[in-house]
Amino acid sequence: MGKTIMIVEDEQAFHDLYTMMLEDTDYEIIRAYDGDEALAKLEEKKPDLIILDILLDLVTGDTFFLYIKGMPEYADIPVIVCSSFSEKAYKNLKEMDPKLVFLEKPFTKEQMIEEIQAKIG
Amino acid sequence: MFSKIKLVTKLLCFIAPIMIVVMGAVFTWIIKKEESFIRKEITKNAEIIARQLEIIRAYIADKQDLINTDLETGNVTFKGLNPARVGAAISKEFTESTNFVMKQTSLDYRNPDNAPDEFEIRMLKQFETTRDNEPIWGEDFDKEGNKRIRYILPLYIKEECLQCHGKPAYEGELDITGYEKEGYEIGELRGAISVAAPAKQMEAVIKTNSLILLIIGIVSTISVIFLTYLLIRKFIKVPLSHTVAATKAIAEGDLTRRVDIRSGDEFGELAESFNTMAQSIEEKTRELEKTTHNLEMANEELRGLDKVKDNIIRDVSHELKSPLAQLRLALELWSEGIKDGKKDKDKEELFDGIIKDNIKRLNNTIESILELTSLEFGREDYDKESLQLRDLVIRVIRSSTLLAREKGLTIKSVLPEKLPNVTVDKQGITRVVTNLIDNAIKYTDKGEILVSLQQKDSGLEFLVKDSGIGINIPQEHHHKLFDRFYQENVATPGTGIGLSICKTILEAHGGKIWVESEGKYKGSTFRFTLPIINEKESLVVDS
Repeated sequence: MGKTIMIVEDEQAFHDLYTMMLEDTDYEIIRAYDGDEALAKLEEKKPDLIILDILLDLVTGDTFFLYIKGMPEYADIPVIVCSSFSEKAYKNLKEMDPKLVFLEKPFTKEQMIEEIQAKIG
Repeated sequence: MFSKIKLVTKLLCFIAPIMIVVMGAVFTWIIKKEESFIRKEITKNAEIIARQLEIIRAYIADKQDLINTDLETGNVTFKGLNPARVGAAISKEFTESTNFVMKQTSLDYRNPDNAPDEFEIRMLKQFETTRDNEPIWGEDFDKEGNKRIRYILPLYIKEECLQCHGKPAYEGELDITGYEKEGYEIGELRGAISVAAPAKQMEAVIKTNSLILLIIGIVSTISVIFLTYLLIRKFIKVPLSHTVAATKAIAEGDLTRRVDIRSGDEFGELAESFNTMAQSIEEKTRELEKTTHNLEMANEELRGLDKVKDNIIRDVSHELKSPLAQLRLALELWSEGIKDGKKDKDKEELFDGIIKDNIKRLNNTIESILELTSLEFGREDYDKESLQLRDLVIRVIRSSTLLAREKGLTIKSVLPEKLPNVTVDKQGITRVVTNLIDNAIKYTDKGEILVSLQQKDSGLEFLVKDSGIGINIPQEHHHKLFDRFYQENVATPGTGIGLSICKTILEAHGGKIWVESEGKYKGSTFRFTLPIINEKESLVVDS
């Protein structure tokens, strides 16, 4: 069985596009539409990687990130932030986890696959 | 060190020694004066009695022939009353009855009682050489060691003395009293009358007086110092302390503090100047505080604007980048599929949908921004006409019904007939009503939407009430919803400028817009008013 990637994104179109991008790989995909749902799904299964949007309803992506980095059992999960905001706007997240990768929208499929492989092979 | 001492103490440090020195000098001077006065008094008395004795002696000497000659027989017999004996008798009597001691003395005495003491010997020798007629004053101590004031009056040989003390007619001639004549010549010193007055009494008087004076001196010195202290306190220290206290109070921030001194002296002037200064400081400080407050407010506003600007950039960038990202990925994946020769109808439909949606989204965003910009710069031309608002609202409801029905919502309307006309730009107000109704549909998932119109005062009030997500910000911040790009929830799709456009259009018509909500998930009620303008006014407005 391949590795698990959790995608936290509020727009359905992004979910559809990410799924198509990863359909040739054997990654298992968990979908969540906001931070709250993502937290609930974390408890069910711990993913190997999280792809995270920032602007989410209820619990936003940055809050969710800071929350999991503060929890010992999830702190080690690598995270790729895919957002229309630059890394500069969320310096505090990078300070919390220097290994965090920021992928600024719009990005290409190649960029995303590269980042995923760099994290979990 | 001295500079740290309080003013009153300092002044007293100067005044007290001066007072003590002055009082001491006065005291000494009075004592000396008194002593000299008493001494004069005593010596005067001594002189009077000595002179008296001298006169008696001269008289007795002058009357010797008369005294010793028997008037009937003419025989001369010594009667025992010559100057020496009379003088001795008076002196003895005087000495016994007063505390003065008087005696006749001579270096060459006949009566051993008249033998001179040490002081008298010294003085007699002096008279012998100087032959001075003036009496001499002096002081010495008696055998008990008591101080005495001495007075010695010289007696020189005169004509009448010669019968007893003159040159003997023959060797060993005796005078009438039976003593050998000494052979004196006129002008030679025979002896002296000596008076000794005890200084004990005088000293006692001086001592008592000195004590009284000392007490008076000390009491008056203390009184003067105390009085000075009171005066300094009343006229310097108290007003000064008031001023110092007021200065401190002002320094500590109590700018309303004033000095209450109403005297006409320098302190009164100082207080007046001080109060004027304090008043000026208070006014200036208040002004400064007001200015600072205004500056802070302005600064706060600027910071707020800065934040708004940041948020706008963030939201606009999101609204532009997010659809762009979807377009890019969709196109990339689609072109990959084409290259690989795969044909998947489902996927193609999905791509088609994503691309169309996002192009529309981008278009809407860009148009909204352009529209708002032109509205705010006043470039929008309003073509006003008098119309029934009810008709306009009904048309909008009709066009939105389909959208509502898709979400399972019903639109209920309460639109009375025969309402007055309003003079408005039809296109603009249609946009406002559409926006409000579309928003109500967009943010409501179930229930109904109420649209109503009614006349209120001199205007018409339009209302859209929904049972949707409501507003999750406090009432006092509701106005922010009408700010450009404000979105209560950043994740909500849309540009956040629709309400801002509504507000701009309504304000251009003299109307206003506001919102009420009891909170999250409790629905919202948007209302706007438009003024009713009659035909006449309308013409004026148009012209």
